[in-house]
Amino acid sequence: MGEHSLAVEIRVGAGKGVARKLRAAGRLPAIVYGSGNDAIRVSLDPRRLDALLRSSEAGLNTLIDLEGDPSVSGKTVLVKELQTDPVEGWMLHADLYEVDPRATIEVEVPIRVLGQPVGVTLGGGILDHGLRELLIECLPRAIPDSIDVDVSALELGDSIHVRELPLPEGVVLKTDADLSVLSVVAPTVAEEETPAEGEDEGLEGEGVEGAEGEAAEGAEGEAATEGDEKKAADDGKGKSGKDRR
Amino acid sequence: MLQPKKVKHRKVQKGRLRGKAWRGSKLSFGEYGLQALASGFVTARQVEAARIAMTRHVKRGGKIWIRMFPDKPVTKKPAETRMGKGKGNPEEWVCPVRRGRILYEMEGVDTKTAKAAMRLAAHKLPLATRFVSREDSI
Repeated sequence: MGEHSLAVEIRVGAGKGVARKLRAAGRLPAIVYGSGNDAIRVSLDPRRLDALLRSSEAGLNTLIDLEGDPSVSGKTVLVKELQTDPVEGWMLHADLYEVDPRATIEVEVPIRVLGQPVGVTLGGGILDHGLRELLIECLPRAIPDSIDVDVSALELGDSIHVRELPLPEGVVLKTDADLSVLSVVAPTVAEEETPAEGEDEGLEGEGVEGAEGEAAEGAEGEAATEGDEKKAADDGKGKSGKDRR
Repeated sequence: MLQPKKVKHRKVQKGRLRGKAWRGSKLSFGEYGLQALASGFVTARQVEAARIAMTRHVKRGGKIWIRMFPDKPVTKKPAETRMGKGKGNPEEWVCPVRRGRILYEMEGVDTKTAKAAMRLAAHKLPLATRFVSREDSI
């Protein structure tokens, strides 16, 4: 059913130990579930999956045909969730969701902006994204790559709502229709430097005064404590001296 | 400068920054971001300095989000004080940042301007950082 195919292997065992060994061996732990079937633990080649998702226009909504073991072979899946390392960026785990070609599914589709708004080019505004993805319901075959929105007519203060978005046939909207998707807003004026510096100086001044006050208190306290300590030390010396004698 | 309006405890323990930032490590608002590559404390002054550097570079364009908040008080003892006699006075507010955390996000400018602004901001921060963009993700 899908245009892409991916070879997977059944993996034995679960848990972080098994998953770490798999990753060390260059494999990606994954799980196949959906359509009322039991979950099947699999492993796959992360480079192949990465190349497949990057080359496809649909991104994570790409329909993939699984190959390999008879228990998973022929199943059509899409990547429901992809866990990645926050620093290194490599994949850690993939959830492969089995789709039924005759049943509708809910998926998030990216909103693609076309053109440059008049309010930005001439009005000096900023295009503000209220939503970047849209939740829709449709048959797996009918999942659009993206929802395209032409914003070239938007002027300063204008906005496009979810209900105004052009949806392909067979696609049912699942996002709140009143939400704002894109709007052209006036830019925030940069702070004027002179008052800002003045404020800074004021703050610094207060800070310094406060610090001095604290320091003065600290110094007094210190003097008192030092005096006590000296006395104690003298007493200690005296005692120790007596002890020695 | 950013600091909490009210706190339950005036002084807190130092703590440790172990592991990576699993939360707040993805772009949530803007098109571009600055991601920490090392863990550490970012002070309220540094947060503000980096924000000003970015804002001045993008001038009237763009929108900026700060994805960290200095909610941890750091104390310091006065100079030339002997050890002991209790914990020092609260001196500044810091954000505990784990590696992977998105520190700032930006929108409404082109990639070149965003990169240059983030570079200026990165020079004000005590951590190694990198520029990230939505285009790079799957």
